[in-house]
Amino acid sequence: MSEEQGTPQQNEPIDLSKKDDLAKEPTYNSPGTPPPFQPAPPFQQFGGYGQPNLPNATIALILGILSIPACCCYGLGLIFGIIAWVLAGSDIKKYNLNPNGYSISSYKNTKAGKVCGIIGTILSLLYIICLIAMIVIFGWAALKDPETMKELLREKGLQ
Amino acid sequence: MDHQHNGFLDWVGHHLLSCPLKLYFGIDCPGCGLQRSVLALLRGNFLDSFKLYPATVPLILIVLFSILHLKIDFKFGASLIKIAFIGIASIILINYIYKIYNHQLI
Repeated sequence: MSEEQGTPQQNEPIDLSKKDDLAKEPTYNSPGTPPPFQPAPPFQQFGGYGQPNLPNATIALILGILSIPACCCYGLGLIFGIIAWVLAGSDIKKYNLNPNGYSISSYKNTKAGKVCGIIGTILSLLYIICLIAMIVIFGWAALKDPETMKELLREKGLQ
Repeated sequence: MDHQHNGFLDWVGHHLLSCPLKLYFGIDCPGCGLQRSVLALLRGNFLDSFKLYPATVPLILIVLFSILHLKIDFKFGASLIKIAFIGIASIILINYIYKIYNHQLI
C-alpha cells in the first residue's frame, strides 16, 4: 500500500487535477445570480443514517445513569449528575442551532441523559441536604461518637 | 470452587464502602443497602436482595439495557431509559420513606 502511494510521479497528476477543480469552483459560483444562503453541510450529512452523533451524547447518558448508583458514595452522584446535565444541555443547544447536522437518535440519547442527570442531581442533593441538616441539628460532637448519636436519636423519637 | 466463590463474596462483604452518613451518624442514606443487595444477588438470594434494596434489579437491568442501546440503537431506547429511570428514582424515594416510617434507619 505505502509503496504504491509513495511514488512521487503518481502523486503529481492527482494534485494537478485537484487544483483544476479548485480553480473551476469560483468561476462556477461568482457570475450570475448569487446562490441563496445555505449553511455549510456537515461532512456526513447526506446518506440517511450517516449523520454524525452529538459529541457528548453517550457520555451524558452514561454519567446520568451512573449518578444514581453513585449517589451514596460521598456525593459523587452530584458531580456525575451535574456533569451529565451540563454536557447534555450544551449538546441540545448545539442540536437546536443545526438540527439537520446531527442524528436524531443521539439527540434522544442526549435528552435522556439530561433527564437522568437531573434526577440523579436531585437525589444527591436530597442526600447532601439530609447530611447538612443532621450536622446542624445534632452538631459536630455527635458526629465523632455514634453511640451518643443513637441516644440523641432515641430522645428525638426517630428510633 | 463453590467454597472459594463464597469466600470471595465474604471478603468483599467485609470491605464494602460505607457512606459517611452511616459511618458518622449510624443512619442509612437513600443509597444504603445497594452494595449488600448486589452481594445478596450474587449469592443468588433474590428475596434478600429485594428486601435490602428494591431498586437493585431494575438498576442492573437499566445499565445492561443502556449498554445494549448504545451498541444497537433501539428506536424507543432513549425514552424507555428515561421512563425506567424515573421509576427507579421513585422506587428509591418510596423505599427510603418506608424505612423512615418503620424505624429501620439504624
